[in-house]
Parts: sequence; structure tokens; C-alpha cells
Amino acid sequence: MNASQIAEKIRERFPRAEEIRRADNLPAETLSVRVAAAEILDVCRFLRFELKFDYLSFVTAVDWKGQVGDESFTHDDPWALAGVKTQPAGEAEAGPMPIAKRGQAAPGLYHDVFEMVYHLYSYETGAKLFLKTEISRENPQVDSVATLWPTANWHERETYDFFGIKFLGHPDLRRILLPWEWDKEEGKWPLRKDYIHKRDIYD
Amino acid sequence: MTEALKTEEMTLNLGPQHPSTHGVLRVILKLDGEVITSADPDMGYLHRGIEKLAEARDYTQIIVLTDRMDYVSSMLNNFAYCLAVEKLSGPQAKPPERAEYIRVLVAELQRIASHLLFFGTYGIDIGALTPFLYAFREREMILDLFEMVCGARLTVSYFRIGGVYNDLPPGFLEKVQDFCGWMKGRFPEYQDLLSDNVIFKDRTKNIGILNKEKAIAFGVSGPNLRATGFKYDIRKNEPYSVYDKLEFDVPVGTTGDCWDRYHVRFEEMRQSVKITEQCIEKLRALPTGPGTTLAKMPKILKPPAGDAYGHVESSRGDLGFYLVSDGTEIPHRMKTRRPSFVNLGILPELLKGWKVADVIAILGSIDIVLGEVDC
Repeated sequence: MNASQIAEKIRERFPRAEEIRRADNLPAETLSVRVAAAEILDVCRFLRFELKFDYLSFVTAVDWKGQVGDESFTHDDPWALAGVKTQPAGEAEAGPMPIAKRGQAAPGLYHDVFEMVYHLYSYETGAKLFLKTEISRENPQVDSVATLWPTANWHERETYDFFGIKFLGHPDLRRILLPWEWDKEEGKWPLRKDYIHKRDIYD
Repeated sequence: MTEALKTEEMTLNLGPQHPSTHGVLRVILKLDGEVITSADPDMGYLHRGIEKLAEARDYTQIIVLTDRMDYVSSMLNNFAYCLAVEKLSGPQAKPPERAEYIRVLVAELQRIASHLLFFGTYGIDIGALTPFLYAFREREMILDLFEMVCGARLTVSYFRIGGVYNDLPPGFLEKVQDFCGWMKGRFPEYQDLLSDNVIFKDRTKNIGILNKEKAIAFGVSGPNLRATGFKYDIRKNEPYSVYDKLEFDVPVGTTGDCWDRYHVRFEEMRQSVKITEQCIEKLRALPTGPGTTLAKMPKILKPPAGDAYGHVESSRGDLGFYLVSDGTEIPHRMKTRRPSFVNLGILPELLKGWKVADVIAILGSIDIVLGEVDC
């Protein structure tokens, strides 16, 4: 089954699904389909059982709010902390360590959403698919697909850990990589673009 | 009259500091006597925020970060990342043919080095301390070859977007040829030392059996999946780079127990030697010169807005990078799909019902590297 047949089958069943094309309107290298957040569980059930997408490669989120600010990162210069002067004589200010300069982004990209991305693959048919859906940044939540693909359990925990997105129906939603103590404070979702890093014991 | 014996579930902490957890992994085990009733891995002790750091560095600077994820097979991490960026950048970034063969050569050498480390450390986990020294003697040869080609042994940063950093130094291909010949003679030795060892077989045969349906449902990939009998290798089923021009077999197991997972990696070393020899032949025939190892790329790479996913068959499984570009020099989002992280998800299922001594055998056979689990 090639990409356009899969897109057809999905659109037949879920008429609001749309295929995301590239800027020059050519089909993308891997089929990308966007659906509404409310139907994500039904779409996934359809993909899992009827289109035989048995391998969920990853589940993740992309924060489209804007560019990440400097306050998201720690800027301790390890040389300065050790008391070693490294600025050459001509430098005007001893500011934070400069990281790569960021230019102007393509217009119209940033909007206030989280985009959930699911990468599916079928061992039987060899088909690949990116399934995307957009959820709001205020009180973000989406249905969990852990009942369809058990591997989603940890992927969703990781996405919750980094972004704070609640997965409804997840059997065990708690932080996985970051310390469990971070739940005692508000707003500790590091991969969000508006995350402000406060100095802690790890700095 | 005898009183009923009161039993209680015991919580045992296989703590982050443990010689056999292959890094800093904490597993909270609940035991009924000596039998495991539940296991809960607690990770994050080596979390360095690579996905966040990637949002502040440009595409070439991130290559240095990717080395350090699975630090035991850094060439393969570089490979996956560069494939993803090249997909994002378009056809201008396609590496020239010589660069492709160099990439495959060092990637397969890295696979051998990674499996040698697995071989040695799995022996140590089980209790066999000698094979480790033999495995590391060969691993030293590979690391010396890496030092010849790019200056670094472990975190190589050898790949660049569109090719590799520099061409192979003179005398390198002869040394790789010598190494391949030497390595082929080692396999019977290793077979004697570990594979045919009665105690090793007792501790790993029919322990921690994983069947194919569960493996696919849990997203397990790489040698763990092939040990269940399912023949799937990204190098064969979704070929990338020049793997479709190379001849090699894909070893599979039969029962999905710990011994099969070990044996699949052992046989993969043999196949990697075969691939390496074919690459040497090809590289001797291809012309050298400027422009053969790196495609013509702009100094500052600004891929068009969009997303791309590039994945390779790493020594641990399906390693992929999902990159989202917003048109600037810095990626908007980098998601790392790490095989060790996903494979570790099978541990709670796999450990139920086995004894404490089997925990180490099963955990070792999944072959995780904490740098990759935690990212």
C-alpha cells in the first residue's frame, strides 16, 4: 500500500483528516496526516487494527509557541566560575556564553499550540506514517494510546515529563527522566519554549 | 498446632550504583521471597537534556551532542543524525559515494566494537571475568583505528552533514584488512570461552523469554527483536546509504531467551566483518581527491521549514532522530528515538516471575547504555 492509498483510506473514514504537503505542494517523503485532537484515539484504533500499523516508533510533542528564549538555559561559564579570565582584552561585556546565533524564522510558523507527533510503521505492509494533531497550550491534554500500543506508555510519560501534556487514560502517568521532586513546584516543563530556568542544585 | 507463616512483599532497590546495571539505573524490585513480582525502572540519573541543548546549537554543533548519547557506539549515532539532517536539507546534501562507503566502514567497525563490549560485560555480569579481557584487546584495535581516522577513540564526531570530516589516512585500509583477518580468527576462541560454556548456558538458556508479538507491541528493535525469530533489520528492509549494494546475512534467534539475544549479537559481529571487507575493496577502487568526502554545503546550513526523520540500525536497535526545522540555523525541535529507552520498557514485563539472580542476566541481555536511555 503506498502513501496515497493510505491517505485515501484514512480520509474515507475520517473526512476531516488532511494530508500535510510540503511548501511546494509536492507529497512529503513520508506521509504526514493531521487529524483533530478529539478523534485521535479512533484514528489510532483504525490504523492499528485495520491498516495494520503495528509498530509505534515514537510519540512526541512540538511546541510551536515561538523561539526559545535565553532564560531557558543556564549560562554559567565554567571558566568564570573557576575564576579563570578568558575574555580577550577587546571584548566589551563578559556576558553569558554565546551560543549559535539564530536568524529569522520562516513566516507564519509560530502559533500557540502543541503539536503531537506519532510515527507509525507497519511490519506487514512496510508503510510509514506521521500522525499529527494540535492541542492547546492551556491545560494540554490528549487521549493516551497506551492501550493500543504498550510501547506508548513510556513515550507518553516522557512527553508528559518534558511538556506537561496530560494523557487521559494512561495507566501510570508520572515523570520518567526528570526528578519526581519537580512535581512539587509549578511549571517545571523544560522543553516548553517559555520555560524559565531557575538555578537549582544541579547547576 | 502450627501457626501460618506470615509473608510480606519486600522492596529491594537495585540501586543506581551497581556494577551490573550498565550505568546508573535504579530498578525498584518487589519480591515475594526470591521471586520478582514487579519491577519499576527509575531512570534519569544520566539525563543531560540533549533535546533541549539541541534547541540552542546549530546543526553541525549538535553532531558533538549526538556522540555522547550512546557513547559506546558514537559513529552510529552520528550516522542517524546526519541522515536526518540530510533528509531535511534536500538533495544538495547527498554525500558522495566515497563518503558513503567510509561511513558504512566505520559504522560497521563501531558495531563490532559495541558488540565486543556487550560480549565482555555480559560475561562479567554472569560471572565470567576472562572473556572481557580478550574482547577489549580487539576493541582496543578498533579504537586505535578510530584514532587514526579522526583523532578520537570514543566520542568521535567524525561525520558531517553531507559526508565525513576528512578522508582516510594512508595505511588505514591495510590496517583494517589486518584487523578483519585477526578478528575472524577470534570467533572460535570466543565460542570456546563463553558461548559453549556450560555455566553460561545454564544461566542464560530459557531465561527471560520474549515472544515476537510482545516484542513488536513494546516497540523492541534490533538484536532483541531478531532473537525472537523475527527477521527485521533496517539495513535490509529499509536500506539507507549503500547497504543495498552490500551482501550480508541477518542472524535471527529461535526462542527469544537471553542466550539467543547474546548469540544474535555474536553472529552480527561476523556479518559486520564481512561488510567491512567489502567496503575495503570498494574504497580501494574509488577515486580520492577534493569533493569526494563531503558534499558542497553552505557554511551555515539553513534547511527549509519542515520535518524529517532519519533512522539507522544501531547496535542497540532502531535509533532515529526527528528534526523539525523552522528555517533558521538552529533546529526548532530535535526528538531522539532511542532504542535503549524503548527496549528498557520491556523490563517490567520480562522480569515477572524470575529470581533475583536472573534480573542481572536479563538486564544484561537487553544491552542498554544509560547515556541513550536518559539522553
